Amino acid sequence: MANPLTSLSLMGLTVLAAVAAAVAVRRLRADRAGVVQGGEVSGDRSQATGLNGGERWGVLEMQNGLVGLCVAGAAVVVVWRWGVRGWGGLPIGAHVDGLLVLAVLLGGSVLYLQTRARMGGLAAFGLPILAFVLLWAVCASAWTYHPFALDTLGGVWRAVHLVGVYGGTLGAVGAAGAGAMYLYVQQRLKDRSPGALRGVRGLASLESLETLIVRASGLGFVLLTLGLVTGVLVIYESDRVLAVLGDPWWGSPKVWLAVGAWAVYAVLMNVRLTGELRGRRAAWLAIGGLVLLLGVYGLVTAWPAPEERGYGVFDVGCGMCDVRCDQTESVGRVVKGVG
Amino acid sequence: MRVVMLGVNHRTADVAAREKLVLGPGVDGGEAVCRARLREAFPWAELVVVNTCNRTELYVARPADRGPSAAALREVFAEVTGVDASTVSAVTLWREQEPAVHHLMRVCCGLDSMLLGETQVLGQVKRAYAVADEAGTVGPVLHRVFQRAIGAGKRVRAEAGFEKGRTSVASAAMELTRGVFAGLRGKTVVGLGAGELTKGMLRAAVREGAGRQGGAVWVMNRSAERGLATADELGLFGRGLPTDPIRDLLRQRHRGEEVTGGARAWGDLEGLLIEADVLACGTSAGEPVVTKRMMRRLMGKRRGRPLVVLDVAMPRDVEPAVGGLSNVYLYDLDDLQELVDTGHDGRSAAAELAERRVSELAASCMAELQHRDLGRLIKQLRVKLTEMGAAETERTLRKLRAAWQEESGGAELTWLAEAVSGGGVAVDERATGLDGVMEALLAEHTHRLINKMLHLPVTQMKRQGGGAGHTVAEAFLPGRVARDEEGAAAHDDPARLGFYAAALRRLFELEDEPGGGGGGDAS
Repeated sequence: MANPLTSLSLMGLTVLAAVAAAVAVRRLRADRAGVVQGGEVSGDRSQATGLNGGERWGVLEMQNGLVGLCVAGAAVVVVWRWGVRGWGGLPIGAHVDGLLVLAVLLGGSVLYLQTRARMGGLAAFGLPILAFVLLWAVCASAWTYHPFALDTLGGVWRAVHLVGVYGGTLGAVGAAGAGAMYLYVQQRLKDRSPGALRGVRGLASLESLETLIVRASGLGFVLLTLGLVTGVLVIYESDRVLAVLGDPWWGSPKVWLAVGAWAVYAVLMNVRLTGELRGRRAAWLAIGGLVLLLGVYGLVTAWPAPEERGYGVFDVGCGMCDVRCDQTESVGRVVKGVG
Repeated sequence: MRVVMLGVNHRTADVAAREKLVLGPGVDGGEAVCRARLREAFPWAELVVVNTCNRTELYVARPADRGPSAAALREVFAEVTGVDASTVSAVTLWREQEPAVHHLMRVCCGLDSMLLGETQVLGQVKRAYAVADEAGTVGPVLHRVFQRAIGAGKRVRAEAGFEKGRTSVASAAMELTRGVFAGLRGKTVVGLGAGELTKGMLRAAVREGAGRQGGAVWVMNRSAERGLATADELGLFGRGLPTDPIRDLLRQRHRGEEVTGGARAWGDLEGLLIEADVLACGTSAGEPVVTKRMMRRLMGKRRGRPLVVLDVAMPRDVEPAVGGLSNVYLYDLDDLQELVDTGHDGRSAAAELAERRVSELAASCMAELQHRDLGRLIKQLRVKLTEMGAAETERTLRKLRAAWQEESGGAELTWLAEAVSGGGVAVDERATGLDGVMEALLAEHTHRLINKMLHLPVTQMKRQGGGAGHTVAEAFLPGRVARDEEGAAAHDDPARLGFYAAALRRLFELEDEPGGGGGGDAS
């Protein structure tokens, strides 16, 4: 287990993120119910949500304030943990640090999108993911905590690998969030029920969301590719590939899922070249890609085969690498971690 | 007579219902059938059918005590359109007298249109009036009503600035495109038809950047000349052979940037459906121009690009099922109406001014009709009384002549003649003898009597001159008319006044002619 203070802090941040997510969803519902005109609220909307123009602005401020607190808090925890480790190497010393960096980047992205016209609604999809990431960080801190075996990697490879894995995940999360928003906006645009179209005014356009899916997928693809390649290098370097993934190593579900997720993003970044995968399908692909990626993480955490053959799985990881842990080496077990 | 209106419009029914109640133009169209059917059943009634993209309305002038009633009109409407009577009853609007005239004027002024102050509707009303006139179903009442309404349409537009409202539908349409596209730069916008709404949307699209950076703005119309004219009007410089697709890029400097576009021939429709990102439809076609089958076939060639279809035609140009296709976003008049309804709440100064003017003009028109009707009623009454008086005079003369001849052998008559002449009573020089004198005396007596009887209502009507309610009230019910502080007569109950006018006609067996009594409003 990591420092209990870390876990407690993360629990607090998770609660903040969850509240911010609830506020964002409420804002989205308010937009759906009606449109503020001249500072007044149409009857339908005020009845549905009880928000007037001033309240909406207050809600936005509250949402952004909560996200800002989350981002700042997560950044403080990362820096604090880094300081505890003596400021050496990278600020990511364990999976919990990686998740915190992911939360900081994700929260920052949500805050940035609030400044962009019609992109504010993405918060309703991004903030629940932020809450989920922070909750995962709580688990990684309190129950599955193990520091990375950082000494098994060269400095450059290690940095590239970690940036690739977490940056790629951020891209996947961004693409999936945009995909979910795409489906939501499309459903609104196709909705024929009375009043449905009014709230469309404040939402991002499908084209913008598709662009976001493509760009986030492109980012995810490039970084995940880097993460995968460097992960394989690390595995070979540590000479533990067969021990971790089984024989043959490419037959492992983790490998297939990882390659599947990578392929999804390879397709997604090129959807505009193929008419068949545009629009709704691209959105579902983005969501599917994230699900695959989460599947990889889940398998890394839960797949029992290697450790049953004498190697331990002590930490949640991306499944794209396999490194020896300093702590467990002394007892002859292998820790499979992220990066 | 009474002026009534039965109709369906975008405020009373959705697109699907309105579509079914459209009375098609042409010799065999529903409009002609409806006219013939009503003419056959109610030959005395005047009728104009107004068909626009947002409305189908029947304007009827009829005697106060004769049909067609609202129920009869609904029945004919249902019969001609094939829609069941209960549906027709549920979605139709009924207006009578001044409210009917007021409604027509609002229509002419574009106040009842989705596009506030649109001018196309005025042309459509003019055409409807001309068609009805040609068919011989317009009489003095509807002539006056429609001429006044058309005049009001021009006048009110000139007085009120509708530019702000005119952009409201187009703005709503652009709002919907912004839900799909980040912007219209680089996008191709196609307008089918050359109506006001279509043009408004194309103008808005150009303002949003359409036709630049690789995009284009195209106008397509069945009449190539009209398409070219529209392209010209929009500043797209549509030039070329009217019967061939215009392939050359036609450019114009627009705010420092080149706008690509022009007119395309109707035969190139499928090609344009592949190119288009936004399709604005507003043709007057009776059948859908874009079908689901066609679009499904073309969507593959569009390589999954989204298409926004803004269908402002009535009947609709695009099959509703097209909206179910993937990556097609179809919006019709109802959807746009939902987004622009705030423009019609009378909030804008222009709309308020126009509404005031329309109310004044409608009241004035109705007053004119009623004034004319009352004048005619009194004239008819005078003629009737004069005829009755003449008959009675003749009868009395005959009796007098017989009685005096029998009693005095004519001597008394000579004395009477001298007495009458000496009394200074004017006697017609042509009248010779006592017979003529008696006839003149009796005729004058009768004339004076009739004049005395009609003096009060005629004088009061002339004094009032304007206000219809005042005239009717004071002509027939002087004791019931209250006066305000400025001495102006206040309106009496219009329905009661109409009843008295109708009663007078019935009692004296007078023919009902234009005008009628007060107003009423029922739906």
